[in-house]
Amino acid sequence: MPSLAPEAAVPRGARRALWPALVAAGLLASPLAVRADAPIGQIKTETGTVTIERGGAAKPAAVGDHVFASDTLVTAAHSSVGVTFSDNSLVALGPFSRLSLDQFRFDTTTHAGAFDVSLHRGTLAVKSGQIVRQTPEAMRVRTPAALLGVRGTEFVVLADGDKGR
Amino acid sequence: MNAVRASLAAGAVAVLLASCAERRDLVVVLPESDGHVGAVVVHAGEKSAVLNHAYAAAAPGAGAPHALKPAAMNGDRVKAIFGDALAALPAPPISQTLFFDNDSLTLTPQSAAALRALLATIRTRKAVEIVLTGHTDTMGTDDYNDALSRQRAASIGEALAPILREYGVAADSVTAVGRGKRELLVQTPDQTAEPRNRRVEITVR
Repeated sequence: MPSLAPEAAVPRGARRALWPALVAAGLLASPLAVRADAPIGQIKTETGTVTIERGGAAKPAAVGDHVFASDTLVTAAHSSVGVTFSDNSLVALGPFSRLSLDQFRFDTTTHAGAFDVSLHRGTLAVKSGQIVRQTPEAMRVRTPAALLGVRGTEFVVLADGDKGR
Repeated sequence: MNAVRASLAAGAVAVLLASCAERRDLVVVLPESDGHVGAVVVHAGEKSAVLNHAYAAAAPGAGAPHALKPAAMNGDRVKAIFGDALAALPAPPISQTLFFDNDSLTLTPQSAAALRALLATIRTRKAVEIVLTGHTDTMGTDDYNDALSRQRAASIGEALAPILREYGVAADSVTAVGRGKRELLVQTPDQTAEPRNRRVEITVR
């Protein structure tokens, strides 16, 4: 167990005194001020061959890799990948799939946000997270033929375009 | 008259052929493990449909922009088409609420035991992230409590750092966030001191 030393404790009387200190420390800055290059999720599962396309380059993906807004995830035959996003959304792709992470915004304090993905081909499984719990339909999945507004929670999507490629 | 009929029939055949060759997407809403069923709104062309019961499905297709053909689905068909994707879903995040003695950084004995149990699951997961979420009671303004809850989570993060390292969790895999007074454990009116609402939730994902 951690040594949760009493001397590290914040006495109750210090609670109000914390306020100016927090202001000075800049801790009151909006949590929306997340860096544009901050990771939005992490690869947790992978089988076969999975690629992340980022800024025109493609690199092999591995468990533990972070994903970023504007990335595209691509799986080959007999391959799959699973990602946990920072709002606890769970997203997975089956074989021969292609998913663009078009937009991800998430305020960790208010849980306001927006999550847009496009499934260009293949299969997608989703368990929606805190963004959708806070704001139904703030997660949207675009497919070649439709736009899905997600109210929660578990669903699957097939984009039947260009089979076998 | 006959010519019109023939032309209509030809048109119908053409539509049918087109619909056989067209690309179709498929959306299926699944029952959750607790039996709850969510909903997905499908917008295609001018139409939209709400799928809100277990295995409710729609097959929007480019060749039929004005129709959302319902699809008959069940667990077996879902598994046949989506089994690989479903198997790849990451394990759901798990959480534990931690309480502290008298607003200190000392865990109550119950919370210390709960923390140990939660940390044991870290060994069963790959690429573990820890999220510490601070909460406050309703004393003070939103801004004040937002800052206080973040500070509370950050303090706990520092206190837990040694043990998290022991469990192989890198420092940059630990985040501290605050929800202020938005998620009360014990519902109270505003401006109410309530020790049970001053807490930190630890999530392993």
